Amino acid sequence: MSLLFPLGLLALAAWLVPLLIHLARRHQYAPLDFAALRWLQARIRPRQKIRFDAWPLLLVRLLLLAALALLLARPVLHGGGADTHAVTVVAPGLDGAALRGQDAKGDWRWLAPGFPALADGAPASHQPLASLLRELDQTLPAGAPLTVYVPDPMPGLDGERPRLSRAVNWRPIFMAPASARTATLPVLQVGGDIAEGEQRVLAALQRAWSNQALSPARGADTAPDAGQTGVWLAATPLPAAWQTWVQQGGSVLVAPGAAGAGWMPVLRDAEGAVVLEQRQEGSGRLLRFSAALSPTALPALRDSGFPRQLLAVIAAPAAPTLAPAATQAPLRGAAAPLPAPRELSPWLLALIVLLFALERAMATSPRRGAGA
Amino acid sequence: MSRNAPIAIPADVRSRLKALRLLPRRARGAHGIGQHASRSRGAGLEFAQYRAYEPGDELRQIDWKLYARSDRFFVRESERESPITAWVLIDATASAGQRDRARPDWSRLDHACAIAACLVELALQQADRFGVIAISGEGVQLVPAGHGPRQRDRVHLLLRQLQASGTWPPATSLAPVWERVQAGDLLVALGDGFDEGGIVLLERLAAARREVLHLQLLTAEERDFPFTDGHRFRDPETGDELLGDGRAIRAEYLARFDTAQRALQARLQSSGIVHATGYLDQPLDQPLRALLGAGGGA
Repeated sequence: MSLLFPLGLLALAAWLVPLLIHLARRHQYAPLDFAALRWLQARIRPRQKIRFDAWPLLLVRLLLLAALALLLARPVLHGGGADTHAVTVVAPGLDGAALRGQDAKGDWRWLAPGFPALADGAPASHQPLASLLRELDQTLPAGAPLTVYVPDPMPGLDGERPRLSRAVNWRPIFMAPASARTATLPVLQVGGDIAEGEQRVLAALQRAWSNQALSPARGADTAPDAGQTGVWLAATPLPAAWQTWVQQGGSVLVAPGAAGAGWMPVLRDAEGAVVLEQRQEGSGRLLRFSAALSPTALPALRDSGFPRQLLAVIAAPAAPTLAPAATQAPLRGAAAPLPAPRELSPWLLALIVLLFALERAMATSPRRGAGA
Repeated sequence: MSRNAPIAIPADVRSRLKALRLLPRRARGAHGIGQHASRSRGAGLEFAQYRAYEPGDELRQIDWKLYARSDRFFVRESERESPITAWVLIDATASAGQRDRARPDWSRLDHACAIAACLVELALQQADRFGVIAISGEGVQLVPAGHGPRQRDRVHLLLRQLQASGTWPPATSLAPVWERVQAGDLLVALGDGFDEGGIVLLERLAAARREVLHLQLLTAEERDFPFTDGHRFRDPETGDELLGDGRAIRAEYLARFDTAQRALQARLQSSGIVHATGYLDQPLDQPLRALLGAGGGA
C-alpha cells in the first residue's frame, strides 16, 4: 500500500481540534455548593496528568479524521490478486462472431481503442493495429495469456514491429485487402503567362513522367483540377482562385523570388546547392525553384535524374501499408506492464460514512451527560 | 420538591412509622407513666369542656355543683394531658439548601422538612403536644406547641414556607427557643451539624434538662465525595471558594471529615445528646429508627 499524495496526511493536524475539545471540558468553573468546605484542603496545583473525558467518542472522532486525511492522501494497494484470465482480441474487419464460435465464456474483445467487448459490435477504427497491440500489452496484467486474430495481409503497421512483454498466440486470418491502390502520376497544369523556355522544360518533365504532352495553360480564374500540380510562373501574384485551391490542399510551383517567409529546401543538386524550396500554405503548399527554369540558370535541369528527383518531391511514393501477417508476429522483450494499483477510496468513503454515523449516534445519545 | 406542594410521606415510610415511639428517657422516669396510658387525676388536670350526661357515663364524673345550679346532669370532661411536648428544631441556614447532583430537586432542607413531618405524625399518633422551631439567617420562626390535626396543618404551613438562607444567628436572638422549650420537653434537632452555634445551643438545652436528640442530615456527596473533575467549591454560608481537583483532594477530605464527625459524636455524647446520622439518599425513616430505636428504648 502506498500514498499517491502523502501531503494529504498533513490533514492529521486536524486531530488537535477534538483533542482540545475533549481536554478543555475538563474544568468546570461553575461554583458548586459544598457546605463541608472547611474540611477540604486546597492543592495548589491540580494533578498534572492530562486526561480526556468521553474517550470512546474522542477515539471515534480521531478515527474519522484519520480516515478523512487518508482519503486526501489517496492510498492505493499494490499487488494482490491480479486478474490474469485469458484475453482474445480480434482486429476490426474480421468476423468476430464466427471466430468466437461456441466459446461463450472467454474474454473476447475488439482490437480497437478502449478494447470494447466483442458483443458490442464492430467499431470503426483507424488506429494502427501495432500501436493498439502495445497498448493492450501494457494494459493487461502480466501473465495473462493473449490471443490475437489479425487479417492477413495485415494493415495498420508502423515503423517498428510490435515488441510485447508476453508471448502472443498469433492467429493470422486471410482477408483480401479492401482495394489495391494504383499509383497516379502527377499532371502539371500551367496557368497564366509563361515564357517559352520554361514551357519547354515543363513539357519535358511531363513527358518524362507520363509520356504525355503538357495540357494547355489556364487563365487566372480557373484553378487546376484535383490531383494536378499547378504551375504559376508569371510575374503577377497568385490569383485568388489559385490561392483558394492551394489553401484547400493543392500544390503550386511559383516563380523564383516569390515573397513570404518559412521556405524550406526540399531538393538539392549534386553540389548541395538548393534547387527547390517549399512553404506550407493552409493545407496545401507552394514550391519555388531557386532560379529561373532554364538549364543555364539551374544546372540541375541538365541532370538526367532530375525528373525522378522532382517526382519524389511533388508526388512522394506512398509507404507500404500491408504486410504478410506471419512476418509481423510480435517480438518478445518489452518491459512488463506495471501492475495497476487498486484504489481504496470507495472503501475509505464507506468507512467514513460508518464512522460519521457512529460518531453522531454516540455524541447525541441520551445516555451522555449534559455536554454535547 | 416544589415549595408549594404538601409534604407527602411515602406510604411505606408511613407504615413503618407506626412501629416508632417518641419516648423521652428522662420524662418517663420522672412521671412514672408509660405511653400515656391513663388520664392523670391529680392536680394537673386540665379542664376541657362540659357535656350533657349520657347513659353509661360514670356517676362520679358528674359535676354535682353544676347540677345543683342548673338541675341538669353535666359531665365534666378534662383533657388527656400528655406528659411531654415534642419540639422539632430545623436548621434552615444556607447550607441546608445543598443538594446532590444526582437528585437536584431534593435539598437538605426538603429532607429535614419531610423528617419533621414524620415526627409530627409520630407525635400525633401519641396525642402528644408538638411544635416546630426553624432557625435561619433571618432569625427564629416557630409554631407554638399544640396538639391535634389542626396543629399538624399549622406545622405544615410553616414547613412549606421555609427557605434556606443566611448563617446561624447569634445566641442573643435565640431567646424564643428558651421561652418555648420547657424543661422536660423533648427536642429533635434536624440539620447538618456544621454550625458551631447550633451545637452550642443543643449542649446548653441538654444541660438545662431538655431531652435533646440530634439527627444529622448529610448529602451523599458529603459522605462519598464522588467528584472526579476540577470544580470550584463554594461554601454557601461564608461564600468562601476553593478550586480543587476532585480526585486529588478526595482522600484527604474523607479522612478529615471522618475525624470531624467522630469529634462531633463524642462531644454530643458527652453532653447526653442522642445522635444519629441520616443521608439524603436514604429513606426518611431510616435515621429515625436509629435515633428513636436507640434513644427511646422502645
